[in-house]
Amino acid sequence: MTSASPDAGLVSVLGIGNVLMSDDGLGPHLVASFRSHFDLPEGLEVEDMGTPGPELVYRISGRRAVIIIDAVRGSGRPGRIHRFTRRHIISGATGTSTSPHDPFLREAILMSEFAGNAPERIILLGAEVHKVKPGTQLSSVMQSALPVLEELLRAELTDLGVSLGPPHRHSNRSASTGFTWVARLAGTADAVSPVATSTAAMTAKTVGSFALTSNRTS
Amino acid sequence: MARVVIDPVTRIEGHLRVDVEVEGGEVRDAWSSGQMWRGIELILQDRDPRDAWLFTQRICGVCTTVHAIASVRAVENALDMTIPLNAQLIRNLLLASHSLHDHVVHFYHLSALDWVDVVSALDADPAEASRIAESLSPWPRNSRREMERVKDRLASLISSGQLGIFANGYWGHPAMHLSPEVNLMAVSHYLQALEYQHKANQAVAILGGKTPNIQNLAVGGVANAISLDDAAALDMARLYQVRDLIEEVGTFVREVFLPDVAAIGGMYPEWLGYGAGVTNYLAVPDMPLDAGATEFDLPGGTIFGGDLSTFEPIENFKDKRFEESVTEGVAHAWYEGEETKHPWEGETVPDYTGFDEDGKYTWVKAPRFAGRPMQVGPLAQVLVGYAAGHEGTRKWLGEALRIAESVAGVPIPLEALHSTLGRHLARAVRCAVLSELAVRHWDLLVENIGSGDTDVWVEPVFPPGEQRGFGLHEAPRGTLSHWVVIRDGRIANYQAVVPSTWNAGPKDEHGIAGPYEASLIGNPVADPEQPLEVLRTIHSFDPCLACAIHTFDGAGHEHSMVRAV
Repeated sequence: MTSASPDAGLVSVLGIGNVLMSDDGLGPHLVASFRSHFDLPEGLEVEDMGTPGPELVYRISGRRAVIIIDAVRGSGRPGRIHRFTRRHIISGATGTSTSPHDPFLREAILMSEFAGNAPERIILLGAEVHKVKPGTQLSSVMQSALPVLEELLRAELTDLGVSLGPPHRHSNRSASTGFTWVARLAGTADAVSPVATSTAAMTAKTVGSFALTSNRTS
Repeated sequence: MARVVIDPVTRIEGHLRVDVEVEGGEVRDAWSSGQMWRGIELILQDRDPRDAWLFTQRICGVCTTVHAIASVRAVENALDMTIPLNAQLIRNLLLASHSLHDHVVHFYHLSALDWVDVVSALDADPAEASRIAESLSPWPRNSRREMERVKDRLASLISSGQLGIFANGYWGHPAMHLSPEVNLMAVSHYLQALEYQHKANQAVAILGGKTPNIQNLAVGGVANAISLDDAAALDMARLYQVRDLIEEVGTFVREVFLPDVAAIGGMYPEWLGYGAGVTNYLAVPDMPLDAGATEFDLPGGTIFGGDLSTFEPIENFKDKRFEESVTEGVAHAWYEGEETKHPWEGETVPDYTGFDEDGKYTWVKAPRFAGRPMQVGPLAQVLVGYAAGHEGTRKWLGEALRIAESVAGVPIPLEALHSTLGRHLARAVRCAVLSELAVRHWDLLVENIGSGDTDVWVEPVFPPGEQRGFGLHEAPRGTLSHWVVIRDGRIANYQAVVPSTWNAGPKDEHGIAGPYEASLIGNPVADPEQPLEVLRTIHSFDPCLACAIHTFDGAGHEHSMVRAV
């Protein structure tokens, strides 16, 4: 049986999606954009989760609240913003429960509930996709959804009692480079702090066309 | 004749669809179809080869680490680089920790419910469940109180009228026949496994900076600064955190995972007789022990026709036979042309023409080794290890078979491993082997750092002109190879030949079936409306068609479909 989580009280914002499949990468893109705009206060983590499997269970367990950012397939209106609660997320058929590697959100919620460790509150914010095919950029309709989602996310956080400072001045890099997710993990000059789980210290050296600078050691 | 279509069998990793024709209660023919285009290689064209790993690790959401490692190895191979020993050992620790996580998750959370009837556990006597569990293992968390707690939790879930995570299972299916007590034991370990898979991932996060999608790799080594007394670098405190985690997970693997699989295997001995399919096996060496990667802790090689005496080693990351033997065919896959090509010449030009069982029916290419289909994964790893005389493999295989035999009450010969359950047993054996090697490579790393070596990286230099390389990694699901052609410092071609391509690939131009397809022939199917037996065999491969995509369906239409027509 799982014991009380050390993460109790934490609010987690988790961006889900594949950055190599165009609009499916909405979650990671929003996470990168959000982290470039705000300093994260104590008790808030904002993470790019890619397309997680069962590891997601532990990333939601014991949290005070979890806000999932994800691309949404829906009524055929690309860019349309959606907000779902737990009831919506788990209401769809889970399919054969024996399917490995299903989209693990629904399963993660149900597993954490069975383990007695479910988050107190879970919300999904997303926008409907325009194109999901190999590619590293969001379509323009998704690009325009980003600031709207970011504002909604901020409002959700305020509602949860998490207050953010004013946004930074610098621009949203996703519009200029399309690779915020790489820029973030490679740590460019104006990079945000490394992710919460990061404990490996990075040396300062150029390992590719992206500068991998030291996030923690400097 | 009944036609059964299971679509999707998998979703997040690219929609596997399986069609089987059932006659007289068994499968007569089968088609394995990847329902999503794997065109991600095209994204890499013209990019800096030093960046490729950042993209390839996004191919798949579950196996991010493995595609990162194979990618940097491919570029290093093209440049004929020798990387520092610390880098080899840190990568080894990463890949071992990742594998421990992946195997535990696969058994408990993605496939155990093919064998374990959760609802039946409600009828269990917790004291008896505890007695059975304690007879199998010294694991301290098998007490009667533990079993009572799990049973209570299960009872409250079921009395709520909803099965939650256990909805839609094949409960009460005639092919389920564990006792209520064994089912309860398995459910309690399902919950514990949630904790230990996470601990393994924590080790990955400490070394890799983050998971999913590690940050510490670089062509030429790793980007972990090593300093034993600098808290900002990879210091002793962090190294000891990793040590504690891999030891805890290792104990769970050896005292819970391996005994559970062996015991459950012994209770379903009939499944040692189904699901062999392709008995050509391929594994590549991994966990190099020196900077130049000439010695390895995990052996590689090939076995043909299920005959261990045909074993031939694959020596190292530059192995010529491997380099020259791999091809991919598209005779039955939705790509332009009919040709079979070497990955360096490989093309990825999609040409979707619909599902045609006699023509093209999948997005997955058909890889071949010297023209033959090969099964990859833990069973290949274990058989290759056994044939190579690998000590750890022989020890843990012996232990698994001993437990399975004592439960089954009959001897289980080595040949029984060519089966659906053999793949599960082999995965537990491999995981136990890796759990010991993780600690050994931690020792080697600390010893090497202690000798004063803190090198982690050498700078890659790209000469003008063309270089070709391939990067090998023996991933949890089997042999992974990334193939790169570099021209004037940019990527000219990139192909990933992934484990599930080897296993899930379609028939080739000669009509020879791939491993999934071949393994299903002869499988029993008691009820075409509930093809649990088909899922058992497919799940035993740990299917993962590497092309993760995930879109939340607002309309709630993400059903999988079982269609008997």
